[in-house]
Amino acid sequence: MSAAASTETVAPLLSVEHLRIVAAARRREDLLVEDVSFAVHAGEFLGIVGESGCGKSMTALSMLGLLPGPNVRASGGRVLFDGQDILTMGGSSLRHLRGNDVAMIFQDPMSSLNPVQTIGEQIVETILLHEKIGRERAWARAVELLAEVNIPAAAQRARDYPHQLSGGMRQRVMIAMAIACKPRLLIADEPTTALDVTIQAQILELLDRLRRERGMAVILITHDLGVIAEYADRVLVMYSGRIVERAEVASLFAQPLHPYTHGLLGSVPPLEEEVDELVAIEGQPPSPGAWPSGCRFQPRCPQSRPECASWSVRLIESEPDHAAACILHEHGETSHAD
Amino acid sequence: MIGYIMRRLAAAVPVLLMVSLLAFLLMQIVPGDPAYAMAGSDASVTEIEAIRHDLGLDRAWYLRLADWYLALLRGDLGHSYTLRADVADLIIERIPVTLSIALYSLLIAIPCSIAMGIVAARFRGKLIDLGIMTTALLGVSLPNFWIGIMGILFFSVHLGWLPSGGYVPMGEDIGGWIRSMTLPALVLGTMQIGLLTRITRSEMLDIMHKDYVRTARAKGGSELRVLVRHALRNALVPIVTVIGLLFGMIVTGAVVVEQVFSIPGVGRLIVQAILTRDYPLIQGTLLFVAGAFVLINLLVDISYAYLDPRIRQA
Repeated sequence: MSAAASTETVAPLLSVEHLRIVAAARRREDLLVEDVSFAVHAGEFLGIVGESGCGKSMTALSMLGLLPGPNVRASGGRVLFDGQDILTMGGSSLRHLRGNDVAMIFQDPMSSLNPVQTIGEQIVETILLHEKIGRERAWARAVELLAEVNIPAAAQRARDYPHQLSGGMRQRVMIAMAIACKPRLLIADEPTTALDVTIQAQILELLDRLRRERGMAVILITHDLGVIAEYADRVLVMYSGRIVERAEVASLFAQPLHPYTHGLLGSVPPLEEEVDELVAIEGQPPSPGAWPSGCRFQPRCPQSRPECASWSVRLIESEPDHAAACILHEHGETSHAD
Repeated sequence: MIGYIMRRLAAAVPVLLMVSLLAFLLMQIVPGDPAYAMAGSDASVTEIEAIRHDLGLDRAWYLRLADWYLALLRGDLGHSYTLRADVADLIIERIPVTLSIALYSLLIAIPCSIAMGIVAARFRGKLIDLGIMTTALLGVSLPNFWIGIMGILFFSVHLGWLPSGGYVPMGEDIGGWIRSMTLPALVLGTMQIGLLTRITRSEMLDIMHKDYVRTARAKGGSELRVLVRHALRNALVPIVTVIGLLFGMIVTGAVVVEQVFSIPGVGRLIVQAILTRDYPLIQGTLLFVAGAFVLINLLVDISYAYLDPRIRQA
């Protein structure tokens, strides 16, 4: 785990302010993401953790202006990259941003590469879209990039088509493509979910190494708290479209503030000690459109009170750099029963 | 690849033999006789019998069929009763005519329908999508001959821009050829546009939601680049399949269009052969059409390998 950089004085690379994303369908609008605010600084490794459907992928896509519109769109808030709002950016500035300043790798490397182009061509395309260099030099760069992400015999592999590579290799290709234009922010949306456990570790190590060597910021979206513990500096926990806890990794694991985080940690098997039983959170996360009023976790929460249903949800900072959206902390109650 | 092509061509031989057999048997069932057609309405029975004897039609059908197959083995398609020329020569003479309308119509249909299909898919549910799909539906539904007649009325009679029929060989006068071929090619292309637009649209809709299209956007490519280089490129296999199938429509369409515009092509030759019960000519032209079908399908299959690397290595 690397320590968080001293970022207090520097303006953040990316700052998301009160982001709100809705899905419109025939006369109704479902809220997917509400009041999400956070910042990422250069070189930082931020983890976003949550269950499927909590809005983490939508939040990520909005950072590239890639929300699957016109039905799904950001209806409020700002996503500032270098002070410029991505949500209101026009086509050409957006194209300049994508792949150049902000790059993204996706969950399924099997389907994320174009099946009819060689992997070399696909990397070359990214380079040529953003840099005025010749095709041959771009190809040489592509081969270097493949070598950099530890693909053996890169020069030959560059001529391969995606179907000739394994899943782990394809995810490396995706990473090579993403870092081709030296982006300052790399968003990885569940990059290892579709891969073997041993390959997972290699891919994450690779991402972390590239982050250190290139000083780029990484946002890792995952549902795996173990991965967060290993690599992230700071972490956001999302539930039903909201951030429910924001903390530095060490303090999140030492003292989770939100009952949901608490429940998540209880469902991860610890390595050091033996446990008889893993504790699962009761019930299912509600789907967008069916969210309860007040705190959305309240129906599943072991510590819920009657007031939770009418509480106006907000993040409450009970320690520096550690905030949770829970009524328990409203009056300075700093911990709950373990 | 060469081995594959040879195997496919070998497999086509039984297909062609079956087509000839069916065509032959069908003509035995159909009433009418070339001798009547040749002799004219006021010929006596003996005259007709004499003609039948000359043509060998008084022999048993299986003997005539065997003769035809034996001649075919020597590469001889026989002699036309009515046009008094070698069937092979008659066909070869007309191939450039039909081929030029076919290619011209594809040249109009393919770019038009791919562009329309992409636009319709991109603006799915919008007014422009509705407009394009309605046009496509009309293209498929309206009969060729009707579109042809309307085209003549409008472009030839009303505006006077294009001739209402006839054929000018390309070698003689290229401008005249273009003028004489434009209307027939448009008419022939209308139906193809209808079908191909629909296929392009549905394939594009399918592919536009693929992860690699999102990847292409995330790289910073323009919308046009994403749609054409990534989405369309992957939609080409089904599109090319349909282009191959369109060939069938072109042949049947050519029969009608050549008739409407009095163009001396293979389609018209088939109609003429059937109307005069010119057995060798019917056999020959149908064999030619079947052979062309086989060849087109082979070309389509070969093109798959170029379009999709996964097929290439399988």
